[in-house]
Amino acid sequence: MTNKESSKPAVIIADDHRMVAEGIAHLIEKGHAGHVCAIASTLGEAEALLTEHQPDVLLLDVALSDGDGIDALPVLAAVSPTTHFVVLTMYAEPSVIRRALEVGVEGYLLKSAGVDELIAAIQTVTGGGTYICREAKSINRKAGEAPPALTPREREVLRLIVQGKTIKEIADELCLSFETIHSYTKYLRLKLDCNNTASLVRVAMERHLV
Amino acid sequence: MKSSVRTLLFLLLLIGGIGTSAAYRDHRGVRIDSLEALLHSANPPQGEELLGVYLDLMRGYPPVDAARWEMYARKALALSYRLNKLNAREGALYNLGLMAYGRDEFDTALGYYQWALALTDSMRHDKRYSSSTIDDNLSQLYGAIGNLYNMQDQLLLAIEYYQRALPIFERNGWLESQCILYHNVGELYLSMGNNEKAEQNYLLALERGEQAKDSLMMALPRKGLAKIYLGQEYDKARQTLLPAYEYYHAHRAEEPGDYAEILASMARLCLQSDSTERAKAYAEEALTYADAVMTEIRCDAYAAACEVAMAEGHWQQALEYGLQSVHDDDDEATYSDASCYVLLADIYTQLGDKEKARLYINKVYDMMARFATEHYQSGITQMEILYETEKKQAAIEQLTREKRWLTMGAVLSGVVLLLVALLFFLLWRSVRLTRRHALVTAKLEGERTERVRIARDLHDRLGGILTALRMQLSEPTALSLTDDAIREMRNVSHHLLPDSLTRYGLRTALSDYCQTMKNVTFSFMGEEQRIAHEEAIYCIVYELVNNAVKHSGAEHIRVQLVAQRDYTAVNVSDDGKGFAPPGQATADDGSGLQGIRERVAAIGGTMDVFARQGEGTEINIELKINTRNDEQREQ
Repeated sequence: MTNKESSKPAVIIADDHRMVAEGIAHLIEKGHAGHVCAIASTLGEAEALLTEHQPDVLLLDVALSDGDGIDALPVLAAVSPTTHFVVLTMYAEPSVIRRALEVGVEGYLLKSAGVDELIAAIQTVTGGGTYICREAKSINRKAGEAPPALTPREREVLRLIVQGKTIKEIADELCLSFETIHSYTKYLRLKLDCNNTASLVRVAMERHLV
Repeated sequence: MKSSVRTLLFLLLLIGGIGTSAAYRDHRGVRIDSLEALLHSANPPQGEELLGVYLDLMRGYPPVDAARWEMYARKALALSYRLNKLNAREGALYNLGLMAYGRDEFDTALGYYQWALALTDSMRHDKRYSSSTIDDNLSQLYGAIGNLYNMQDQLLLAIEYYQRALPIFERNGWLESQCILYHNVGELYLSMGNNEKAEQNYLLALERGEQAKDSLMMALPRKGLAKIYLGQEYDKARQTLLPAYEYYHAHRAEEPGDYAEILASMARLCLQSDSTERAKAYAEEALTYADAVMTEIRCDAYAAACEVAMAEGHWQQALEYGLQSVHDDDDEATYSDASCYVLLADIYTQLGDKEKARLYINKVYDMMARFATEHYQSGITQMEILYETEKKQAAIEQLTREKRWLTMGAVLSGVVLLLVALLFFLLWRSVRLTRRHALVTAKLEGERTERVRIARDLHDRLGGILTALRMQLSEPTALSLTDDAIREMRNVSHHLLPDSLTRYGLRTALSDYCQTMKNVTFSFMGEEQRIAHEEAIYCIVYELVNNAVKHSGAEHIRVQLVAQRDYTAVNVSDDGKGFAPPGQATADDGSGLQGIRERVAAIGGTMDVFARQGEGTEINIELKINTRNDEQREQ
């Protein structure tokens, strides 16, 4: 950070595929986006190199041989507080992206992203911004979990309960086993937060569920 | 064992507010210095030995130097990754949690503790760690999380977490830990004003203390019990209090806080027997000890002194003590403040200040309203109910088993020949069934291992090469083809076995999967984080959703996961064309459902298909979880 090339951000790459790391280093140097001062292939090495170099940017893979890069992030951030962290990974799972952003990563790049995105990411994070590559952004757009709702069959069972039918009668009517309907009433009570059949009926009426 | 007792003593420190750590301090200081010297010696330790030194330093520093405590915890954490030492990592995380807790950063602390819990969970599958190490970690973490909730005034949640450690202590026969746990729960119930549950827990604590023949463990619950009995029965209060007084009097230098509490109780006892002189002596002694300790106990001592002054008719002095006995801030007021408000109202009435008297009466009403909600008063936590039910269930099953043997004996003596014939038939049939079941299970297990291997290989080996290849290319068509190859490889490896499934469980994996599908929504209900047969369930849901996408023509597919302690249920429903119900259907009841049915049966689940022509399809899978058996297997 304080060497001669101080105009360009100092970068460390942590990736257990040496060829990949060297390729990325080459691209960064060629695109004049930064100066790669070291390459680490394990989290342990990354920690030591971060302590030594205090770089501006760390490009961090998620799956490393000695652990998960995102899990280790608080540790890495502690040894080099001024470093900006960019995750560079093959993982496109929404939960991984979400987790990375939660621990304070400032950039998320998929390995299928282009050089332009790699350079843009380094420039954005050193400028104080956050950079998420296009593909990761599009993946993360849809909501992860929807609130629980009644399924068509749960609705039907509820309707029959409100009509005053017993589990056995409902099972006969729907040609299903007693246990199945019993399970369904269990889910209904859980979803509608009711302790017994009477409150199920009340909630069903109040919320116009049947 | 030792460390869990220590943890709970730590827990006790927070609740009781005493400082026993003073005794350790000097002794530990020496050790810290020698360890530091070792680190900076000409021949410093390496590898595992270095990790051991870091951990010792991390454990040694807390009372002395917070910054160094943190430094060594972080060093241990980093080194634990390099050496792949899960237990050391757990220890570091736990300590980082404690630090955050000490800084009042409760969310961060909870994050570290939960991380440590997940890690401990994964240690189960690692042969390097014994079940007692895991039990030790778990009980420590449950205690820590309990403390966290305790500090945030979420008392019922706190109790729930403390009680999670109970089965562990019982399983290992750790009597002292059980005693402290019951005592702490008793203290919490007492502070909620639920005397009945408090008494129950103190009595259990006393029982364990007597079994352990530990004088401190007997004195502790007696101190609490005495507080309950003081308001009710003089004799009982006296019998409980005197032995506790004896103990704490002998150890008053080490436990000034507890001694102050006992003195306050002694003062009250003397007031009840009308020996005001002696009450005064006790109250004054309580005050000299109370000034050095934490607020709750100081309040208690002042309240006792106030009662003594009132008995003597020294109203002005009673007022001074009384005002000291309540929290300055109404929001911090606990149940014990209510009784002090009553005292103050009484004093102001005697002094002729009606306004002030009315003010305190109103405060009492406010407190009553706050604490008298049914939930708070008789709050039995869910864990407790569950635990009790489980114990009863075990007893019933034991009885049933015995009974079954008797019946069997009678039948055997009666119809031996018939039974032998029948047995042979049954044996033959069950061997056939077991063999079939074993075949399916073995097939699934083999499939699973293979999936794991292929997914890893694809991702780790092929992925690296493809990425490297991509960087060597400049031809646009070649580039975009490589991109496609990488994306496809990622999809294949993800669908074989998503990484998030092994690491974060079924909920996260299903949420990920559904999020990447266009018309599929996912929802979750329940409280369990990790459940049994996650991989099998994931594969089943994956196939069900795939079926629905391919064959149903549905516009919308919904996946719901319910994960409760005693059962797991998955429901996949769509608004597609459906099919005729089984019986009227053709041989293929909805695109390979038979195979899925077999998989569900192999993990002991049931599957219901609900379909009508034109009304969509709904498939429900339920797995009952026998929690008791699971626990036995863990042992």
